Amino acid sequence: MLSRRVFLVLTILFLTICTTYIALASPTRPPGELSITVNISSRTLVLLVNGRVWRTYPSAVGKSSTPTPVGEWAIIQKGTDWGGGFGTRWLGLNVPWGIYGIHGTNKPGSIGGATSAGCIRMHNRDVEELYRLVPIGTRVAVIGPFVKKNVSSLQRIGQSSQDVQQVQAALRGQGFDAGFLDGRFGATTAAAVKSLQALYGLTPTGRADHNVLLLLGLRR
Amino acid sequence: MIKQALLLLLLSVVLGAGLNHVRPSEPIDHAAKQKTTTAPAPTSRLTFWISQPIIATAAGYRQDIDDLVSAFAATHVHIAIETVYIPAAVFQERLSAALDAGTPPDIALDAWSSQVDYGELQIPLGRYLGQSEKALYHKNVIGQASARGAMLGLPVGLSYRIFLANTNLFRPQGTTLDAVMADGWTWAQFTASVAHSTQRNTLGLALTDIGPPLLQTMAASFGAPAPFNREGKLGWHETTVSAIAAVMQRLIATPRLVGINSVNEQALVQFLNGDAALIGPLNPMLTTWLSEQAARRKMPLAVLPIPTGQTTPFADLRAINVVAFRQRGTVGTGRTEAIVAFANFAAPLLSLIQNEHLFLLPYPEQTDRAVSNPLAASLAATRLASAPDSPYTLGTNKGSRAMPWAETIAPLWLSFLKGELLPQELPRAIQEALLTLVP
Repeated sequence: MLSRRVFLVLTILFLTICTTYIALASPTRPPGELSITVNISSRTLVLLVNGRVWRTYPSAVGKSSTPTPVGEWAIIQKGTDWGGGFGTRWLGLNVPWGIYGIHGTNKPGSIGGATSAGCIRMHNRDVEELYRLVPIGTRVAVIGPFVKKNVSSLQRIGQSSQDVQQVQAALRGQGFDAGFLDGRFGATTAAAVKSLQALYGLTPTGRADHNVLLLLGLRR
Repeated sequence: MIKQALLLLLLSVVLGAGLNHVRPSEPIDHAAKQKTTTAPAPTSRLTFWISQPIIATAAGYRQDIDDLVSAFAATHVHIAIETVYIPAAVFQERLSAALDAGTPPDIALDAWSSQVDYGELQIPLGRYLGQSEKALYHKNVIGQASARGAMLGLPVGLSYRIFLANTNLFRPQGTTLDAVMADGWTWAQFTASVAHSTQRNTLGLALTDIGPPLLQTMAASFGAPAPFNREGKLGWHETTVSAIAAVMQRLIATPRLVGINSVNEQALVQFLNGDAALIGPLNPMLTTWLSEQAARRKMPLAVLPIPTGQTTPFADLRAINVVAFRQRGTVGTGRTEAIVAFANFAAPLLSLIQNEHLFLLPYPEQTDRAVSNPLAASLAATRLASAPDSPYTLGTNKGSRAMPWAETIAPLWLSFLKGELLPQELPRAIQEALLTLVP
């Protein structure tokens, strides 16, 4: 009888310990500011806390014909029912010129390659963990080769395009704070354009006109 | 049974330890402990504020200033300098707040304006210069650095405004190119030349600015660069504004001239494509950039001064100064002596640093120094005597540094350019607007 009682106590103890350890092993949202960096060349997705590496996941990125957009984005959508090639979770990014996101997969063998249509693909178990950890609004920096292109038309506040992102990158290259490289011409980008215009003695309009594009090396 | 239970317990401990091992650990703050070293305690601790322009060369600018401070520290162990870099966009605002609180920096360098007269806290640096040192400065530049009869700043550079001409297209009227380059020109000659250079496929002028900076540049050519004088009274009289309005009216009357009453968003493109004979007014940054671009296109250039508005030629040459302050409540002279020692040490070196990174003309002795832009250097060096002798940005109060006048008169100026305000109405309207700023 005593032996049975001991067995019962030990079993409960065992289950308690196991439950506790499993709970500890499953990451909860860490304190601090979360951000994500996707490195296209190493095909990794890194979760950072206060700018320091917290988790690194293998991922797949876009093919050369459908590259993952380089830039500084934010998670604006979370979903669980996309299914199929999107796997078990979806984290949508605010890329202005297409639908891009971080998602799972039904082809786990593709992880580590440049195989997607531009999205960042992860193992389902990884994207499920990431999904639990990151809230909407989390910044996502996609690092990779940024190809400079000519911009032919005037860019102004309210516009969203790859041309705007070119202006933002060129402003940053000249030392101006143009905000996030997100292709959105907002107040910060306009202020940076004004600073550049004032620096060169041009009328500060905040519009990336032909003068500004020329000074930024974005047109000839 | 007990054996089984013990086995179970052992298993749970092993499993738990394993799980604990794979659990991701939270980042650890590995902040390095500060190493303390023993050094002789300085008797004076000074703060040095630097307006940090947001440009690509700013990193080198900062490094060079840091090196300058280190060099000073090496020979002045009793004086410690703390450098504070403040973005140019908020520099004036921060300085104003610090002055109002009576805790300004000991030394300040504002790269883009000739700010003097920050109020009673400003130290008259000229008092500490010997005759030979003062002789290095032209009297007009000393004038720009002075207020209430005291030299309040040490000029370390000159910022100029000029026009660039494409000599293939420029057709001077009533003068010659050589004469303009050697002796300057009048606004009448300028407007006539613009009209004459305007051809079927050529614009006579591509204006880079139509706002208050243009108005100020034109006012400087009449010898009154600031809307208020040293006494806080109106510096822009009705006759000056009338004359400026008349110049602009003649330009507006020039056929096909774009960008007179609206921003010319293609001014640089027009000039570099050979579609405009003149471009300006240009500051050192844009002069340098355009000169480089034109050289690549093998475009022949001439640097032309801002036309003069009076018989006395006034070129738009703005002195950039190092200024010094005393803290409210400071007693004794030790701190002031330390400030003066640093200002005198730093001024000539800052002159070179500003030239290298910001394309300003080094001053004094600018003719002996290598300058980034030989075109502009040749102009400014010969025009030094024609610099206005008044500070550019005196306000209506002691210590009034900002340019509220620009915001106040900008709508009036733009209304005039658009034809909504008559030329004869502009002078009175500007006078009345400026008077609202006088307390």
